[in-house]
Amino acid sequence: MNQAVEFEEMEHEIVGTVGTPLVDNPKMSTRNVDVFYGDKQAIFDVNLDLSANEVIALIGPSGCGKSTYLRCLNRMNDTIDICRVTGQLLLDEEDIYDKSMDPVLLRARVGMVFQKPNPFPKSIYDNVAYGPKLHGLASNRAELDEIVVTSLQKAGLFNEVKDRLDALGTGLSGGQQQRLCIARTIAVSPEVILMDEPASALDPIATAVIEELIDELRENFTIAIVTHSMQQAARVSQRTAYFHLGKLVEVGETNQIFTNPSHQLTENYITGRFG
Amino acid sequence: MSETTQAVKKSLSRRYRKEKIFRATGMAAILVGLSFVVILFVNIISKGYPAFEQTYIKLPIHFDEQTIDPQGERDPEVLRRADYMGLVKESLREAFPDVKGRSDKRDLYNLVSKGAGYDLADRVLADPALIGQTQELWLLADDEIDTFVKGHVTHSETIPLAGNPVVTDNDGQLRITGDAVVMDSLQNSLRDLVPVEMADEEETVMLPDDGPSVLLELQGGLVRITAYDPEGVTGKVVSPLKPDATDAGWNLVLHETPEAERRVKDKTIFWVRTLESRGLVEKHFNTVFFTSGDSREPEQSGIAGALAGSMLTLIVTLLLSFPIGVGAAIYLEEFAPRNRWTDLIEVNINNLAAVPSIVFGLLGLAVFISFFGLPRSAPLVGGLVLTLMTLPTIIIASRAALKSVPPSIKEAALGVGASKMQAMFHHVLPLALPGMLTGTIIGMAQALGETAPLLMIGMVAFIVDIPQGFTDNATVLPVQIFLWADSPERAFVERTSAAIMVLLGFLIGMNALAVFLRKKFERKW
Amino acid sequence: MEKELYLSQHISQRFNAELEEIRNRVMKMGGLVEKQINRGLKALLTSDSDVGEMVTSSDYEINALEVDIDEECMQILARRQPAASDLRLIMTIIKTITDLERIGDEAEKLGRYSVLLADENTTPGHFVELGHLGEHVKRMLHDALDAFARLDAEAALRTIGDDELVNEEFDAISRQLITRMMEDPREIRNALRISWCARALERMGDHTKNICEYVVFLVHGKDIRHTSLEKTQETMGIDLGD
Repeated sequence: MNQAVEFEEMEHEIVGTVGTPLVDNPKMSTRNVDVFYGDKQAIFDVNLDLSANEVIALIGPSGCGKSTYLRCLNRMNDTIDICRVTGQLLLDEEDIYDKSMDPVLLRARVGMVFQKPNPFPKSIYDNVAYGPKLHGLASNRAELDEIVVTSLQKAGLFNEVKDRLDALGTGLSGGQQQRLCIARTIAVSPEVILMDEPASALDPIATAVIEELIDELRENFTIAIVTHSMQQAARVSQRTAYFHLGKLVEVGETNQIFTNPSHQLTENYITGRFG
Repeated sequence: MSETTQAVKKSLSRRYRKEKIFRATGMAAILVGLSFVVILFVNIISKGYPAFEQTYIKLPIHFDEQTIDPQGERDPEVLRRADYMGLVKESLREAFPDVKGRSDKRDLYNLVSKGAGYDLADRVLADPALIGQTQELWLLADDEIDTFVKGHVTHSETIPLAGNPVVTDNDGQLRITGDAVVMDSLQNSLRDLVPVEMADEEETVMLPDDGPSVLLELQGGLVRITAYDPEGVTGKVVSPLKPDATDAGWNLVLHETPEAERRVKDKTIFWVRTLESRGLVEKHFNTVFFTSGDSREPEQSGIAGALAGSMLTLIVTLLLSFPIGVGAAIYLEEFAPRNRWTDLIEVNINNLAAVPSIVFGLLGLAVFISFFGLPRSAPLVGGLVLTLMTLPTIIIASRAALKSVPPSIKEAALGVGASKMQAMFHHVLPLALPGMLTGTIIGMAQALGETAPLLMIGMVAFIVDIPQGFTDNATVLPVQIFLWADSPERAFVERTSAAIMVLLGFLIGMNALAVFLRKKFERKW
Repeated sequence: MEKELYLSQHISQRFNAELEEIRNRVMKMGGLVEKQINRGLKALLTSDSDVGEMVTSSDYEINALEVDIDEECMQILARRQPAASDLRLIMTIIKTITDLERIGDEAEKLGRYSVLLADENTTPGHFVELGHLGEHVKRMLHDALDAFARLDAEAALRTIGDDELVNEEFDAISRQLITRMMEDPREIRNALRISWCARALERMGDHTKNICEYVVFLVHGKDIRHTSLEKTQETMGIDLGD
């Protein structure tokens, strides 16, 4: 592995972000974002826009900060005491870290799907209905039913569970559970959906189903997906952002990133040269 | 086979042997523990179960109007204060008309419990129409009688004898002789019963006064044998004989324990046996044990007061410790900032769980009673003290239950837009509830059996009335057991064991409930 | 930003070895083709029909290599899902071997015609220009293969420029041959054969130019096919002087 060692010692400068991190009329916009865990800095000066109705993939080696960055977008990092976020993060031009922004409200607009499927230990119906009930999105049972059915349909799960909506959500298979979590997320009609390695715990077929779903969801939502699989990033996203050690190295059209990336580090990561 | 496999194989037999030894040791330990439990239970149950039956004597009671209500106004106060025991005494006299003499009569009256009077009063107050009637009632026997009937006073043997004995009065002493049939029967029986060497058939054998009582029941009376010889038997009259009595048979009776060592004398035993032969003595289920409070007389005492006190105390404890404990656990786990203070609090809570319980009693005494002026010996204060004692247990169990809920559930709830409180109460708490319940029930079971702290706050008094409210004087079951254990009467011994059985029953029941609840609410995720 | 192309140094050593192997094969194929051109030219210029026959019979080696390398490329695509420069490398190789195989075919033509021409008694004089053109093309191919081996895009661009000269030379030879044909109709048959040889060499030049375009695509990720050289230099900010 001598070559690899030599290689790492060659410092590649990351000065600013190469490519197209910023767009016109972004859905979400982040500027100069730094994230600290206590004294340790995890994210360095990230400037990135999310375009409306697009899927943007965040890729990078383990520990590069992509999940951390993702969790800033819906203030899930608030639950970690020692985590500190600075910079400007906007959703439709509103500062999401402003004192007047209620994180609860934010999370109804920016939903999240997690790596390990985590349905509530309740019935399938109750899983999907929890969010809408919480936020009062349905005024009667019929409307709630409507929301549940629509969400399950959009998540591609309805046909498989339509005659057992009372069954326990945790009794489904892994892929179905993850689709249930997606249904749960879209039931509150968010504007943005954040997905943190949503298919990493699933088999290839379930993964393909989820990816297809992401493609369909793109019509109505803005999606940011963190993924370890470059092939998945290549398949589902329109733009790809490459993170390296907490810095945003390059952002660009997915096609271009995977055929001719501009930054050496991006090239190295994508071709499996290191990281 | 590779080298590694060979090495593993070699070590395998050693490992299996070690495991076998370990398992055997474990089994042995369990068996030892179980055997102790079995011994404990057998001991307690064998001592306690007789207490669940109580001796009753059936007597005709004439509710004489003159005695009960001379004014005829049916005034409850008057009715209550009437001399009901007098009615009982009269009935006894009628049953044994031959009993004369003050001390004899006193002994006769002692057959029936003093509490019978209250029983009769209750009946009359409930139904004044009884006045003027005569009823055959089962009356509670005195505890000495009860003890005798249960066989704890002495071991007796009875041999029916044949033939018709001849009784002659010989200077105050009775001489009993008879024909061959009689004498044969008598001699043989005496030989069987009395462990005295008859060296010479011609000799007169003297039976010592301080030895076992050897008696003859005949002609409706009782004779104590003082000596016997081949010709017959000499004895002293214990209960007068009625030569005109129509009872045909006669018995030889032995009471092994010498009379001087018993509280129940031969005469009394004779009366009881007489009543028994008339079918007037029965053992009934001891409802008194469950319906009345403490009493000086064992036969009138029960655990109702202590049970009520325990329940009231436990209710106070539950109502206070569960919300406070669960709330504290939720706060410490979810909302409290992580700093020096919360660390200090955590350490202290863990330490409090190990503090000797009597310290809490001292605290209760100093703070609740002296400073706040709450009434001593009340379930309220007892409950407060026990709350302090069980809070650490509940907090620790609840925190463990909260920690065991996977954080992914909470994150999922937050991700959908629930606030911290909502995530906690809608999702985490229901999942943690089984563990919390288990902890609480175990804490309650512990509190139920606590004695020392409650002694400190004064729940040691002799409480007769059953407490009705939280500020009434009360005692609790463990303290009641403690008090009864001090009493010498044999009847209290068995009641102590019976009370222990009741307490154990509750503890086992509560623990079983904890296990059941935990199993029922366990959710798989 | 200028990137270095490290074609080895993957974390997977086997992948490194596979790419190394496939590049070596391409170079081998290139070497074979060069040899064939040499032989063909020699056969023509020395009227040696034996060498000419050797050319014809050796063409199969090049074809076999093309099939082999194609197969290997497909395996790599299936198994490795290469991205970025690795992907461009495989694409480049697939295209390059096609063009190499065609060059081989053209060299085989030289051999065939040399046999025919050797039978007739033809004055070697006419082959001087052919020889000149041949040397030119030989050098072009050599430079192109070199540029591929060294991943030198600038060298590749320069070589592309050389194709202009090849075309000019071909035009000149054509004119000469036409003149000769007009002067002496008996020369028409041979002249035509020579013309076809010249045409073969001109085609080799075109294919070599393609290979150079692929090299530029490999190195810079820019597809410069069907773009003029001036335009290419402009967009890539490269000045070749000249």
